Amino acid sequence: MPPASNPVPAITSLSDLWHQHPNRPIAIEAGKRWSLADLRHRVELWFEALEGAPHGSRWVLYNPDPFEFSAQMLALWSRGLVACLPGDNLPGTQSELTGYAEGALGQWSNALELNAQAARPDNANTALPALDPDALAVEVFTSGSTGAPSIVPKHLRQLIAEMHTLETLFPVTGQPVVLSTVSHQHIYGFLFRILRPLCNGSLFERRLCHFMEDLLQLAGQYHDVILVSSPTHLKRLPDTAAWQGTHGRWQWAFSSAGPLAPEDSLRAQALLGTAIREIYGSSETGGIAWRVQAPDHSACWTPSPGMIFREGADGSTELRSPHLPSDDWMRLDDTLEWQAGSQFRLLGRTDRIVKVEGKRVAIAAMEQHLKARPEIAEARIVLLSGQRDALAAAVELTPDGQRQMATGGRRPLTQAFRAALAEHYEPVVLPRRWHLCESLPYDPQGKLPLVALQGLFTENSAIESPPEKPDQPVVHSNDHEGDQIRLDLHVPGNLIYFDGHFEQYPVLPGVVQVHWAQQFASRHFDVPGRFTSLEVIKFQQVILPDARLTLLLTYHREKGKVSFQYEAGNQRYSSGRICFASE
Amino acid sequence: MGSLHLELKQMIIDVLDLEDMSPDEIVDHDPLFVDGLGLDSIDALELGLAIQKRYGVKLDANSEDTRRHFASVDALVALVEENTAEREAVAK
Repeated sequence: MPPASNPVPAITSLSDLWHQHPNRPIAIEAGKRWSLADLRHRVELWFEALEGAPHGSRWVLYNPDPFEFSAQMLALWSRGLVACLPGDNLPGTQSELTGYAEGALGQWSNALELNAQAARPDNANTALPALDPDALAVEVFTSGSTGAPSIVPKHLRQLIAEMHTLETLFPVTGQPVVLSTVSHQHIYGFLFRILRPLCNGSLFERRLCHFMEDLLQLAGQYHDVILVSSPTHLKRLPDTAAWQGTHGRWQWAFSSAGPLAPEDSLRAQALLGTAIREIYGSSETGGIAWRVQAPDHSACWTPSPGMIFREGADGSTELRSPHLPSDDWMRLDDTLEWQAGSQFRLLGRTDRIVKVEGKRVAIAAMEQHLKARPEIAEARIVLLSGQRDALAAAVELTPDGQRQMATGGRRPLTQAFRAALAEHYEPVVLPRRWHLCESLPYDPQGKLPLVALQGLFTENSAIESPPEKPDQPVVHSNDHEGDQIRLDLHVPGNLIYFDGHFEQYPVLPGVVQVHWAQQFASRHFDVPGRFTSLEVIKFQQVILPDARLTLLLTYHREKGKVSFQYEAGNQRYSSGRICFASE
Repeated sequence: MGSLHLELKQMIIDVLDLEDMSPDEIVDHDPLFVDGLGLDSIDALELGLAIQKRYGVKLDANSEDTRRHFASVDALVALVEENTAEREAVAK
């Protein structure tokens, strides 16, 4: 637990930031700490560098280092500028944003840099203006249902309202270190890894935990930690006893970006020795609800304070919340099912947006990117869930595409398609399954049913596998009386035992006849113990494919024996006795 | 190609369920991630788990080490061999 003499009061508004003690720690990495004064120094440098930027203009901010990110963000806000947060800095994303923003900070082409003279003495103080709560603070880029990226604007007031809610629900004490496996370029990481620590006195670790081993190592270094993670990472925690060393260190453990499967949640909670709090929300809505899964209770979500829901005209759910830009109702893209006690269950999305390992993908947009290829006439993308979520692309080739496939095979084509998509998408969401064909499986109405598309990618559907051969006779009737039973059987012509027995002349093997007799005896009589031996076995006539015959079984209870006889009319095929012994 | 090389390549294909890929198409010294085989960050997590499970390799070092071990099939072979040798030394 943190020391009782906590020098940093929990604050919930960024405007108080510069009034705090300059020695307050902000960030940490490998034992080295950065204080509020260090942060302020960087903010001032960027504030100077941004002098003259048109008030209210947009600036791309992409910086994987949370400390420098924070400095650049605060500098932008102090200048009255808007920080646009793209999720990645892939070439396609950069070109899409060209012309949209006034400039860029961080890892971006032509990003603004500090010039050499900016290295000025620390004592040259720059006055930073107070932040305007009504100013547009950030724009988050996310996948919209139309395919074009949708831009979600957030005013500072909204972000601060959300900090208040989170602090009420999950109050932080002392100065824990925030360890994150998720990027702060998305709203969840932005709120939990950057804004909350700045507001509530916790520190962020500058390194992102890419691997779970990083997390294990860092959690071992700090005694009081907060985990900011996602299902993608939590469901892949390595099974090691080393996690026990982290027990008792987690002040909070959060997961968002998608629901955790119950078994993954319970396993992660057992490994880390702490509750995993899942947050439900979206870039547009901010946090809406939370839950902790337990073995004995259904995984329902509890709305955060201040959330008001109503049913929309089309049966969808609409939300009103202090985290939204206005008092207007916002339609949710998820279907909610209400439970007793004002909790709800999530029943999936209503639009063509899917989440692949927690990352939102607009299917329509990806299909458009594929259709732009000259080899592709039509493209459909479906989500396959399994060990990992993966997208699968069913592609109808143009005549040109078909020619290429005939000469070069499918690999060069799928690699080219993948490379084309990689310009716009992170590797994690690229399709991992490809079905290339001359015609997609349209139904008679000219539609492409989801089931048919998914069927293209399930095992065995590609190759028509022959129906399995039976190993059992067909029982038409049975007549059971006391210790005797008659079974009318048909021996299927495609019985597996006819294979190779014999090549030109299939007959039912004797061992199969005995096996069936024993199997039916065990099923219908309470024969004791196990099979031990055979007596007086006689194979008088061969049994041919498609034979109709009667199996007569008699149980000699006192001797522990069952006699069998295969016959048809007056014809006897075989007979014998099976001896059973008690264990 | 050594048998451990082949085994690891087959494991990469099986664990990650790679389509259209056979072991001889994976080059020993080519990068596994991004530029070469084009594996992604989740593949790295999955592969790490599989290697720990199958070979008892501990990946408790820092991320720079982990990144080095996952650089190529050659690097993975070295990692597995080093760990096996350590365990045998301990056993003796």
